[in-house]
Amino acid sequence: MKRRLSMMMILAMACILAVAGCSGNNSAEPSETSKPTQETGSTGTPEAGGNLRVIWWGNQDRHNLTSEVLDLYSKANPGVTFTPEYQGFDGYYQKLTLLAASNNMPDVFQFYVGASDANQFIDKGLVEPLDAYIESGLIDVSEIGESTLSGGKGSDGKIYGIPLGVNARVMIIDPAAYEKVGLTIPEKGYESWEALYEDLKKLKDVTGAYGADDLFNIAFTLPYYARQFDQTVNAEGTGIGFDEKLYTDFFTYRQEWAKEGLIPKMDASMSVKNPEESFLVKGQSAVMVGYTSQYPGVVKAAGRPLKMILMPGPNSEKAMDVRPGQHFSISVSSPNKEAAAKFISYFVNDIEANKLLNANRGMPITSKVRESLMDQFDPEMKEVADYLDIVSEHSGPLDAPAPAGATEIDTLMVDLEQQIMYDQTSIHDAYEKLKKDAANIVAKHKQ
Amino acid sequence: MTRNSKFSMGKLMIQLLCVLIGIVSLYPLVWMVASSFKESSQVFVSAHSLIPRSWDFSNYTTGWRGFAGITFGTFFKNTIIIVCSVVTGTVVSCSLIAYGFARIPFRLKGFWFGTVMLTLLLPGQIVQIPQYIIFHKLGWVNTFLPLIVPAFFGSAFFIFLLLQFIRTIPYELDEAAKIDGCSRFGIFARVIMPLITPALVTAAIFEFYWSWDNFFGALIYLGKPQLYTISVALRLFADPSSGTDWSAMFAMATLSLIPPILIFFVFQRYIVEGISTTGLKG
Repeated sequence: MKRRLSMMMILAMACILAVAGCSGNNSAEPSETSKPTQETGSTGTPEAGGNLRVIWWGNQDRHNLTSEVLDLYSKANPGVTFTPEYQGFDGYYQKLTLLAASNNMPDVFQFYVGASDANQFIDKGLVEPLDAYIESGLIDVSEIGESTLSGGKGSDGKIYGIPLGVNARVMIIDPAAYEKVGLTIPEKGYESWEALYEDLKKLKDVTGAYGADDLFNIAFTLPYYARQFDQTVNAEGTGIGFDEKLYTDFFTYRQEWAKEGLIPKMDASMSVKNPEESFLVKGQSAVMVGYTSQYPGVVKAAGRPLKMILMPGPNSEKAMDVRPGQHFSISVSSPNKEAAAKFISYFVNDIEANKLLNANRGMPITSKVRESLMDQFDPEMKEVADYLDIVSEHSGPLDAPAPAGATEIDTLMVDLEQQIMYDQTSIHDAYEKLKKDAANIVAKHKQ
Repeated sequence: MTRNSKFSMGKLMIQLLCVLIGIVSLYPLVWMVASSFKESSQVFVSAHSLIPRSWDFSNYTTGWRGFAGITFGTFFKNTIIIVCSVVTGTVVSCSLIAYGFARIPFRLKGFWFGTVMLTLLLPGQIVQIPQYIIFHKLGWVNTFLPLIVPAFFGSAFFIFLLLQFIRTIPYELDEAAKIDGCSRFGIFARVIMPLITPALVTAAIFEFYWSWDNFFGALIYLGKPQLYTISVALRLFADPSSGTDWSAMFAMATLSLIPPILIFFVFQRYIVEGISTTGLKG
């Protein structure tokens, strides 16, 4: 509660500063406001770089590894120094908002183009479009696939961020449980949801609790499920891009499977906050879904061999996608944009740097880098790399960026998800409400 | 006989209740300390158990190593610098101001005192925004100054606390000192200060806790990792998208609790004394 209050405070403060900033001098140099750093910044020649402020979120490993790479880069490029600012994920966007509002944006920042938190920065013109740097070759994208790169596109079609790693949805299964029941593992994923249903009934007997963890989390599975039927969760004009049949089928599966105990009921599945706490890890289920980045952690926590297969259902070929984990972007107010672009190019392409980073931000985006890392990967990471190779052959293009207001729609959907699963409302009523409210939200944001 | 047993029964029930409440409120703390010895992946898998399967002390070394070469030594140092300055500032400024209000007659005293008390009713969050703007324009962001300097200008709560305490000191002592040739400041330094030690200690301890816990101020004013305080640094472990080293985080959180706990046990009697005396006469 206290923390939520303080976050709201930061936001309020950012707004006020934004107002104050507008009435004050607009042409203020962004670096003027930040205190001079201890590093010998901005002594280098203009083309060599100067001091780059880089900000990211992450955990201990990421802070250590990224700083090592920064040092490496400084050594190889005299004249470029770094002022890293890093923090945990909570409050990251609020902090960034505060920095933006006080004309104090870092040169390079970790970002997620397409997330609704991030979109507002692009809408306000705070993020530099990178197309020109790509054309001039400052950012080398020759090894990066077109669809991977397209994940950094804003709704205006310009590229606002270079992906730092990729991820994909995955179904994680317990091979030992399959063997016990005498089931064959569908290496390429289940053909249909019904086939999965039949297997779960048998798997439930082995685990003694559930067949699978919750498979129908709305934020995770619905986008995939919609893509199976050529629909999308978000749509520009109407707010939602799926029909009632799809919504009804989705929740009917979920209700029936939960009723039969094949997947945990809503209250039980809501108690799982981390993949490491899942029922699969505890041996109480044989199947779960997640992102590839979570796989090594799940295997480690489970302490027994697991296996990755493609997501279930028809048309998974086009429903699967390879998603950028996060991006590096450059701020419009950066005085060292070219140096920043060069650095980003180095960060995603350089083999030595990526050997240090060890896929901490998701699987590296270029196949060359990925191959060079194979020797140093853990067995689990190798599996993830192999799996991603399969997915990239069996996947469709990413969905278009979510329209403004998508965050509100997401919140609404989660709310309705709970109402349906706790029998507070019928699926039909929920869909009607969702359709109406989503359209209103989108209309409100258009104004 | 019956009355006696009844009496002890009641007492026993109260004791039991206290122990129960104590256990409930201590449990999260104990859980955290226990988890700091568990392997990180086991923290939630064996969340129900307070005793780790195997005692893993490496969390403390990995945690202490910190981030990108900045160890928790730096974070502790930063926190201690800030806390010590803040405590010094608070004690010095508040005692002076309280002395002024208690002993020195000046014009519009009631009005000014009212103003000070009004700031007590003002939620700190309201002041934060204009403060941030001021400090930002002064170029103090990314230094310790915004966290330290305000403490040197008094804080209504402690001014009130000390004021009430000074009022209990007989005025005759001041007069005696005056007759002996003491200046106003002499009276403050030689007579008042020694007598209000318990209240000063109370104020110092409270301020110590508050600034040790201060997360929000440190979050917004300190941008560079070299300047982070413990409360901000603890968050650097958490990343929901890849993985959080919970045990290392708990290990460092446990360490960060040691100074406040030490302070509490060392100065415990002053806290009680300070509060009870001011409370009675207030």
